Amino acid sequence: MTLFQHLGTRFRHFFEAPISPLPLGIFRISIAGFTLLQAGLWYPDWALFFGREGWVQWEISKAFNKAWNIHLADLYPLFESWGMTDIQFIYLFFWVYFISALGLLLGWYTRVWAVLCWLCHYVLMSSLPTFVYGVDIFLHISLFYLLFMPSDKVMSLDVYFGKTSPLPTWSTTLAIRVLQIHLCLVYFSAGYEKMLYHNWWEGDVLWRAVVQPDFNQYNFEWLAQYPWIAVGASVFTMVIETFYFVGMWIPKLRVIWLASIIALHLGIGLFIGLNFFALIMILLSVSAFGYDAWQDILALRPKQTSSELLVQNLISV
Amino acid sequence: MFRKTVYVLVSLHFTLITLVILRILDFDKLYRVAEKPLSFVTAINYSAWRFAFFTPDVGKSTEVEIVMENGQGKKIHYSTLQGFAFFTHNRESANRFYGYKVHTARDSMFIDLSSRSACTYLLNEHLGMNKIRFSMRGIQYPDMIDFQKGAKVAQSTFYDTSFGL
Repeated sequence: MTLFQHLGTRFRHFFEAPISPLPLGIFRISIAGFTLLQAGLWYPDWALFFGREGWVQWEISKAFNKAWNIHLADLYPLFESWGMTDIQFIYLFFWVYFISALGLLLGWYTRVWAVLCWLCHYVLMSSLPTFVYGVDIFLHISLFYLLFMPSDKVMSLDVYFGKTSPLPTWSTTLAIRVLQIHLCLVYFSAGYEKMLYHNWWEGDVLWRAVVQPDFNQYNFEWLAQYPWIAVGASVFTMVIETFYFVGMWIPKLRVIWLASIIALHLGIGLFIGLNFFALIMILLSVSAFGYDAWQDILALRPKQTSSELLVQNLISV
Repeated sequence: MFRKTVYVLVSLHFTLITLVILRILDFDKLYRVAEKPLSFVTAINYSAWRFAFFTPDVGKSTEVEIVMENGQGKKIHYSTLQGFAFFTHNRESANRFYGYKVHTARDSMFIDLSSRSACTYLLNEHLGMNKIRFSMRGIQYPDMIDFQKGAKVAQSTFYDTSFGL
């Protein structure tokens, strides 16, 4: 076998050898569940953000939008002609978004709901470009992937009603790999960019993030007396993020790396108050690498010898 | 054929992500050359997006202060430093105003338009008030070493406007 053939075989094995579709099911349920939770929290402030006369009026948010992006103001005339007010329209839109996320969660006509949910999210993102932050970007990426990924192969009503085969195919493996590679690129980018700023190496960015009034949850001004803590936490962040693409592919390191990335995001939620950003990042890492990490943990259990198995069988008989 | 098409699309997707995040393609120059297709791709799936664009800004903060008057001595004062959270009902909604403040501070035209929009919203919420002042101040904490030496938090007003009915 030539080197080229060998690499081709390895490539096909990595991207196509059938593996459990469970990570895709976890991904779908996590993202749909997250969408529902976020929408539920958004509901009391829906008009404030999306209303025609909200904090940023439609005329202004539309003026700063790209011409081809679909804004709520573009859709409203279709409903206005039926006598619907702008407030009724934005709440109708909310329920369409909510129900599509629910359909995605249940995995019933999964693709149909995935398309509708992504489309609604796209309109929402286009309608409030100034209020968008990391959590929305990662949710949008996830919903985009759910348009194509065979996430209905497990834990879905489509499987229950026999509409979809639960058997893994090449596309199952490819989809999981795409999600994993995307996260590796994102974390590498996040870590590498931080390394370019000397303020990160000196711990000052982290210090300012925890003391500045937009994010501070507790009084962290004492941290200036112990700069080594901020420096240590900054270096930890940079290492964990930059080398995510290494740690997550080495079975002996994967569990530690996943635990570290979860700890990092829990810290972001706890100390900076970006709870939903922390949650979606944890859900993404768990969806992409959680199943593999769980297999690593199972592999750590001491293997039973054949005589021990025989004794166990005899006892059970 | 279908499988090959899928692989080509996935490869293009990851190539674009890699080129943008590794700065192999200068995002700003690239954006000037191909703004429409890149904006379109970004709106669809954020594959032309620098994920760590926020990295240098994470320590920056802005105060928004709003004062309304009715001309007969009644005043209403809101400041984000005193817990004003833009009438939101939860932390998650309030967090969105951090991005809002960063976005508005960057663009002189947008800051003007959005402050007018906010003032209109506030005057509608507080009927009877006929004068409003909207200010934004940058807040910069010193680094840890200077803070230990007693350096103060720097504040500077970068936007201030008033309207009357």
